[in-house]
Amino acid sequence: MAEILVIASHRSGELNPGTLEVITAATELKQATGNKISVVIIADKPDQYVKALSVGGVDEIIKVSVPQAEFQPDYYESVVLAVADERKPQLILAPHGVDAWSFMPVVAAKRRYGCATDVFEIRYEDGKPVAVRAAYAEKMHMELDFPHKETVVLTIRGNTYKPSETSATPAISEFQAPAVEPRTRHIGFHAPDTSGDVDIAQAEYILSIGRGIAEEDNVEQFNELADQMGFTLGCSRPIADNGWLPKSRQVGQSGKTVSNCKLYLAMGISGSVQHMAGMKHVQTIVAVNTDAEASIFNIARYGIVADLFDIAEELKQHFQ
Amino acid sequence: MKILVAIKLVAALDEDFEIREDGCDADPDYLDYQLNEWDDYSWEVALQLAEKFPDKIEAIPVTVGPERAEAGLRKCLAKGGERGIRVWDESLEGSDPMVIGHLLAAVAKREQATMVLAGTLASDHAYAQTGMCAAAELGWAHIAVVSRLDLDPEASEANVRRELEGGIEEELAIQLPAVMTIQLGINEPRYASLRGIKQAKAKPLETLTPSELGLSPQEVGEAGSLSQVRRMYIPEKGQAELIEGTPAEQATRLAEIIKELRGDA
Amino acid sequence: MGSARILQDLSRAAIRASDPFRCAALYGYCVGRSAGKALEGVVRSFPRVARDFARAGYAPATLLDALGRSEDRRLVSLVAGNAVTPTQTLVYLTWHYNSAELSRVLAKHRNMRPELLEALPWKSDGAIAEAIAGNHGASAELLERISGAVSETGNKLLARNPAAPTAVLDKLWATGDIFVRGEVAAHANCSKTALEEAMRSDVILLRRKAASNPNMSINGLRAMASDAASEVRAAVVRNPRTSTCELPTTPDASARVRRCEARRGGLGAVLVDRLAADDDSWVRRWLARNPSVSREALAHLAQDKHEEVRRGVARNPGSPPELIAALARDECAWVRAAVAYRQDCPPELIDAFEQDSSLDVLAGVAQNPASRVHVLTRLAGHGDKDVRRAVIRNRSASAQVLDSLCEDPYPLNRACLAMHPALDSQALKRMLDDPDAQVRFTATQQYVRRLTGGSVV
Ligand SMILES: Cc1cc2nc3c(=O)[nH]c(=O)nc-3n(C[C@H](O)[C@H](O)[C@H](O)COP(=O)(O)OP(=O)(O)OC[C@H]3O[C@@H](n4cnc5c(N)ncnc54)[C@H](O)[C@@H]3O)c2cc1C
Repeated sequence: MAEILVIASHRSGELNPGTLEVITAATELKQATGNKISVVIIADKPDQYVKALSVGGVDEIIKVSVPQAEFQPDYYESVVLAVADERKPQLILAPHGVDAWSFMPVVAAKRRYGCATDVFEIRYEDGKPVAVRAAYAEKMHMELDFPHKETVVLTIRGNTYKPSETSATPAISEFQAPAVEPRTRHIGFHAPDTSGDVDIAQAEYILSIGRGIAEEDNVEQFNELADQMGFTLGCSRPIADNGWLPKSRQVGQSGKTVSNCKLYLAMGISGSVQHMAGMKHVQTIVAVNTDAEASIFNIARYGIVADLFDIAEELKQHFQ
Repeated sequence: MKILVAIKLVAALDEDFEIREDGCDADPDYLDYQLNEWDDYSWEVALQLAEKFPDKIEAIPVTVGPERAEAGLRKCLAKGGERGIRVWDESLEGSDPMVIGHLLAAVAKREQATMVLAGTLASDHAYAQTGMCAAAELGWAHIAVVSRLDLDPEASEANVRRELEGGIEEELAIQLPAVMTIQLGINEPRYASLRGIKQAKAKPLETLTPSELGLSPQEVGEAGSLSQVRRMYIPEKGQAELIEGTPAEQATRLAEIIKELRGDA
Repeated sequence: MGSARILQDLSRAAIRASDPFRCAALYGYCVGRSAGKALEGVVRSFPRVARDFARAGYAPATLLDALGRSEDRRLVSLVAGNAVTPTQTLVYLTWHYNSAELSRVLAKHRNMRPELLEALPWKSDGAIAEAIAGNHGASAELLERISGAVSETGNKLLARNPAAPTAVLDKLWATGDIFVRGEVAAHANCSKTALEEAMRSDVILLRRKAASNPNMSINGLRAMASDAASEVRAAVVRNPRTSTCELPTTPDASARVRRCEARRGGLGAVLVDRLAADDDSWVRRWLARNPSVSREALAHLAQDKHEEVRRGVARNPGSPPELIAALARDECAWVRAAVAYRQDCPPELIDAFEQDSSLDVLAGVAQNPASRVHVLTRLAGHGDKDVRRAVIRNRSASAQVLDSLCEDPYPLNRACLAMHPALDSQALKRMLDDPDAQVRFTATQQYVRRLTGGSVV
C-alpha cells in the first residue's frame, strides 16, 4: 500500500494546529486512493506530541528523536529523507509556514521529488496528483502536475482544511535519526517589540481613511468612529502627507504593512498599488467608495458603493 | 568574500487581464515587469555588508531570465556593486525554481561565493523555493525568512534572526557558507541616485548559458523541473460581494459582519 | 524659439524615444496635428500604459477623449467608467456605441447631462434604469418617469437622490421598506405628511431620520428633543435648525448627545463650561476643535490630561498665540505637530522645532509656509524622504531650496517637485528625461503648461 507522510510541525512544545489540517487533507486523499497515512514527529521528546497526533485518519505515528527541541533544518531534512528512502511515499505533506520553507524544498531538491508550495487543493487524475495553488497575488489559480515523479512534496496552505478532531489509536513506531551535524544553532526567541503607542502593523481591526474624507476637519469623526468600534485608525499616504494623521498610521509601500489584521475597512481609498502593498493580504477587506470602478473593490471581500460619511454616520449607530 | 544575491524581474498583473492562448499563464499584454519587492531588501543587505567591509566583501546580483531581466540587474547596480551576472538561453523556458536554484548554485561555485541571498519569495508565483533549492544543490547551511543578519567576514558563522508566526523571531547562528532567504522589512532599501542610475548603464553584465555552467539539457526546462504548470485560470470568488441598500441598511450589514468576525455578542 | 516650435521638438523626441508617458503629457497640446496621431500611437502601443491612463484620475481630458474613440472595447469601457472623463466624450460614447454594457457604465457617470441619461435605453434595461436612479445628475422629471421601472434596489437609490421629487418620494414612502422610508424621511423634498408620520413612528431609525431632516419644523424638533432614544435626541442636536439656545442646560444622560452638543457652533458660555468638564473625553475633544469656543475655555482644555484634547486646541483656529506657544512645548509629539502645521505659528516657535526628534513635527515645519528660508534649506537635506517631500510641498519654498532637491533619489519627491510653481524652468527641463516614468509625465505636463499658459497651441 502506498503511503502519505505528514511531517508534524511544532514550536515551544506546542503542536502547530496546521498539522491537523494537513492530516485532514491527507485523509481526503486516502479515501480516494487508499493510501496509508503516517505522521512523522521529529523532536527531542517526540512522545509529548503523540496524543495530539492520534486523530482520525492517522494510521501510524513515526517518532524520531533528535537532540534539539526546536526546529532545525538539517535534522528535519535528514530524517525525512531517510524515512522517505525506506518507505517510498507518494506524497510528503507539511503545513505551509516558515519552518516548511526552510526544509521542504530542500528535501524535494535533493531527491528530485515533485514539489509544490502553498497548495490549497490536491486531487488525483489518472492516478497522478495535481496540486492547485495561487499566483499573481491570488488573482489567478494554477494547477501543477508532476510528470514522472514517484514522490511529491507539498506544503499545504493554512485554514484550508478543517483540523482533524476525532481521536484514533494509530500504530506507534520509532525511527532512528541518521547522525548529522546541525549547521544552525538555536540561540533563543524574541517577542515582537510592542513598545511605542499605536502600532498599526500589529492591529487586528483597522479602519483606514483616504483622500475621500476631503478635509482635515473630517478626520476627527473617523477617530471617534474607530474608537467606538474598537478599531485602530490608519490612512493612505495623502492623509499622512497632509499631517492629518501621524506618519506611523500610514499603510502601504512607503508606510506600514498590516501583518496582524483580520478586518480592514477602507473608506475613501481608491486602492493604488502602493496602498495595497500594505494590506492586500488581509483576509477580510471591506471597501467603502462612491466610485464603483475603484480598484480597491478588486481585492475587497465586501464592497459598499456609497458615500463614506453616510456609512460612517450609520455605522456609528451600531457601536456605543 | 563574495555574496551572490539572486534577483528576479517579476510579472505583475493588470487589474483586468486575459489568459494566454495555451492557458498556462496570463496574456503578456497584461503583464508588467518589475524587480521583485523582496529582492530590494536582499540586495540592500548585501550592499550594507559590502559598504561596512569594503575590502572584504563584494556583492554581486545574479538573475536568470531573458534580456529584459537586465533591467533588474541595472536597478540593483544603480545602488551599488560593480558587476552583474545573467544566465539564460531558450532551453530555460518553462523552468521551475529547482532549475533556477541549480543555476544559482552553479554560479555560486564558479564565483567561489560564501553566501547566497535570495528573496523569501517572488511576488508573481510565490513559490518560496528558489533559494532553498540552491542550498540543496550546494549542500550549504540554509535558513528561510531571515529578518536580521549580522556578519563578520572573518567569523565562521553568522548571527541571524528568522521571522516566525505572530512577529516572534528566532535568533540563531548559522555556519558559513550559507544560503538565506530574506524577508521584507529587514532594512530600509535605499533609492538609487540619478547619478547611480546613469553609472549603472556602463557596468559590466556577464551573460552565461546553462551549458557554460555545466548543466545538461536534462537538468533545465521542464525536464529539470519538479513541477509543471498545466493550467491557469481565474478563480470564481475574486469579486467583492456587494452590500446593497441604503446606507443605514449597508451599515447594519457591515456591523453584523464585524461583530460576527470578532465574536461579539 | 517660439513655443510651437519647442512643442514640436518635444513631441518628436518623445515619439523617437517611444515614451508613452511623455507622449501622454504632450497629447493635449498637439491634437489636430499629425503629431497628435503619432503621440496617441505611442501611448496605444503600450496596452498596459494605455489602460492605466484610461482609468486614471490624472489622465489628460484630451487623451481620455482619444482613447474613448478607439476601437478597443476594453479601453472604451474604462474611459466610460473614469470619473474625470469630460462630458463631450460621454456625448460621443452615448451616441456612437450601442452596447448595453457600456450604457450601464455611462448611466452612473456624474458628468452625464440629463438629456444624455434620457437617451440611454433604460426602458429596455433595468440595470440602466437603476443606475440612473442613483445618478445625482438626473432630472426630477426623468426620475419620475423611471420610478415605475426600477426594482427594490433602484427604489433605494431613488429615495436618496437629491433630485427625486415629492411625488416619487410619497410613492416610495407608501410602498418601501423601513430603509427606503428612512431615506424618504431624511430627504429635503419629503412631504409634510410623510415627515409627520415618520416623527411619530415606533421605529427609531425613522424618528432619527426625521429629526435630521433639513425642513423639520421647530416644533417637531422640540418634541423630539425629549425622545426616549438617544439617537433621536442626538439628531435633534445636530440639526442646524435647532437653535443652540434650545439645548438643555442639564446634561443629557447619553454621551452620544453631549458629543453632538460639543460640535455645535455658537455655544453659550454656560454650556461650554459644562461640556469642558465632561467626563467623556470625546465631548472635550470635540469641544477643543470647536472654533466658536472662547479663549478661556480653550485655555482650560489646553491643560487637559488627554493628549488628543490638547491637540484639538492646537488645531483650533481660534486658539490665541500664548496657548499655541505653550502647546509647542507639549510632551506629546502629535500635539507639537499640530502647532508645527499652523500657518499662524510665529517664526521663533518654528525655529525651535527644527531640533525636534519627531518626523511628524519636522514634516509640519517643512510644509509650513511661515517657515524661514534657513530652516527649509536645512530640512531639504534631511535624511527622511517624507520630511524632504514636505519641503517640496511647501508652496512658499524658494526656487533655490527647490533646486537643491532636483536630484532627490526618491522618485515620488521628484514628481512632486515637478509640480511646484516656483521650480526654476531650467531645473524642470532637466526632469523631462528622468528615469522615472511618473516624473517624466509630470515634468512634461508642467513644462508644457508653463510654455503655453495652459492653452492648446
Ligand atoms: C513611490 C510611492 C510610494 C507610495 N507609498 C504609498 C503608501 O505607502 N501608502 C499609500 O497609501 N499610498 C502610497 N503612495 C501613493 C499612492 O500612489 C496613491 O496616491 C495614494 O494611495 C492615494 O490615496 P487615496 O486612495 O486615499 O486617494 P485617491 O486615490 O485620491 O482616492 C480617493 C478615493 O476616495 C473616493 N471618494 C471620494 N469621496 C468619497 C466619498 N465621499 N465617499 C466615498 N468615497 C469617496 C474616490 O472615489 C477615490 O477612489 C505612494 C506613491 C508612490 C509613487
